[in-house]
Amino acid sequence: MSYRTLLTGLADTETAPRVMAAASALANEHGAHVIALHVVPAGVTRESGATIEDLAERLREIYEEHRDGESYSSEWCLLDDNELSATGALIELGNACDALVLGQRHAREAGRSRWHLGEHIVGVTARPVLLVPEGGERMSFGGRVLVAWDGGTASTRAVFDALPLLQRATDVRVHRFNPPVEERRHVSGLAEGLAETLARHEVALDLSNSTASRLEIGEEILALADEWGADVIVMGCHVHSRVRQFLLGDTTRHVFANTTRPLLMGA
Amino acid sequence: MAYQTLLAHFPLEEDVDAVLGVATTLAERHSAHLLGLHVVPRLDTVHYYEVPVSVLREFESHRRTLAERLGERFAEGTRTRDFVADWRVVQGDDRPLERMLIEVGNTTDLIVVALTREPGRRGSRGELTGRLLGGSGRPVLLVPPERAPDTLGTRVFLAWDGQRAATRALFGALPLLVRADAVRLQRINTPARDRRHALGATEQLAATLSRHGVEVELFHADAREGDIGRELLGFAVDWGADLIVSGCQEQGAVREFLLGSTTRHLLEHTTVPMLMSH
Repeated sequence: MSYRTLLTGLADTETAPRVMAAASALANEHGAHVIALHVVPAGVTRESGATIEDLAERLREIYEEHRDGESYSSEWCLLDDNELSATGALIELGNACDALVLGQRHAREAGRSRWHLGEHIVGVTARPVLLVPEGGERMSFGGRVLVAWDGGTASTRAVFDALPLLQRATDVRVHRFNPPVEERRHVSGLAEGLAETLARHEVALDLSNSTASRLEIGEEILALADEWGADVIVMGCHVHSRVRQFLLGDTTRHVFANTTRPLLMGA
Repeated sequence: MAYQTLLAHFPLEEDVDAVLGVATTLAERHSAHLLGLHVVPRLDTVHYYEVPVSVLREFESHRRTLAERLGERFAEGTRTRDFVADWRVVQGDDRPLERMLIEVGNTTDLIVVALTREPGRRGSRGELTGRLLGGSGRPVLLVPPERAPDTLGTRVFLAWDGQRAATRALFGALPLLVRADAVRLQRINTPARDRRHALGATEQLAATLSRHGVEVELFHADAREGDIGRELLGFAVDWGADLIVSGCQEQGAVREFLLGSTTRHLLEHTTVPMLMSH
């Protein structure tokens, strides 16, 4: 199973190189086609100190630098009609692709630009989103994958959407938060059942679990990823309301703002 | 690409034939592991004092024989088949039935259940269907009771509106799409900008599916808001579909329960199995 069509959102010159680097690595591994999309911001003439024409030109150059010499097929897609925002276009076109690759900013660099595409798209699009933080382009996608699973809808979707990644990984660890105990009833053996299903998809994995309060889960995911040396983290994105797209859950928000590793999110 | 683990739910004897027929057909075609599940309903303790002991005893013995009977029929239907089948009985607790079904379903590739009419109506079996559709993290295959399970997924009809639910359903159906003889991608009321844009999400989707080895025929049609469900079913039946893939639209604040009018129409009237996601 492979990702055959990847959509990358290029919004600023800071994150675009790592987004394209990550997308190139994935495309080579999966034999995927890459669509590089830039949506010209509406209603402004300058963005991040450059004219919007210069920005688009610069992004195109970044795209071409990464694509040149590679064997995967790709296309540059520039959208400039004031009708769709970057978020809207990525959601709409993303639903026609296998996965999206977007830039992610660490909490310490956030706020420098108004482009925080990732958090406006995860939880709204139907397709998995790979978020690439600073330094994340150097990570290996075929290496060690940590999956945070709580048995719920969002993390379950993330797991199955990540199958192409899991099948190529050298090590997979599924960490179950808050497994069933007496006061937290569940059908028994669920994590083991998931492991069996994934094994039938040729994913060998280790299971682990821990108990954490809702507010600690985000920190624990990151600590676990550090300790175990994860290359990629797979997790569900909890959104409080579909209507107000920007209210992320506590765990999601924490991991989002603090991760130094690529995140594959489903919702 | 194949489904590797299927969950089939058996609450009552009356829909065993339809569900088992479809589940075994799929399991065979995908060499999948088939998990049959029955959740033993729990008596609500709050009302014990209001019910004569004889009635409780009868209910108790009914529950036991039902679970046994379903297990026997599952074993019969899977015995000579060429895949691994597992029967599992889970004791229900005071949580709603669909919670347990979703918990187990979330560890599998696809959930197969009987389609019960009156989706979402309180107290009806259709309420379970609605809640399952609204809460499951995996795609759900709904089998109409009248369905003869000889072919499934040879002609697949995709009802796609570009939105999240339909997109989830469509990609959840990929293992079926790659095995189909014909796939029709039906858009209703395609937004004008989709036709104009270089972006063209519908064409892009067709290209994405084609990279997975799935060739689709594209169809566009216009319909009034209240007629969409009827139009879709009409197209699907005229085209000879033996599977419809569609999103399950929820409506209003009480999620998992209020289904959109198109979804409701499809669930109430389809005679073709449906694969849905929310």
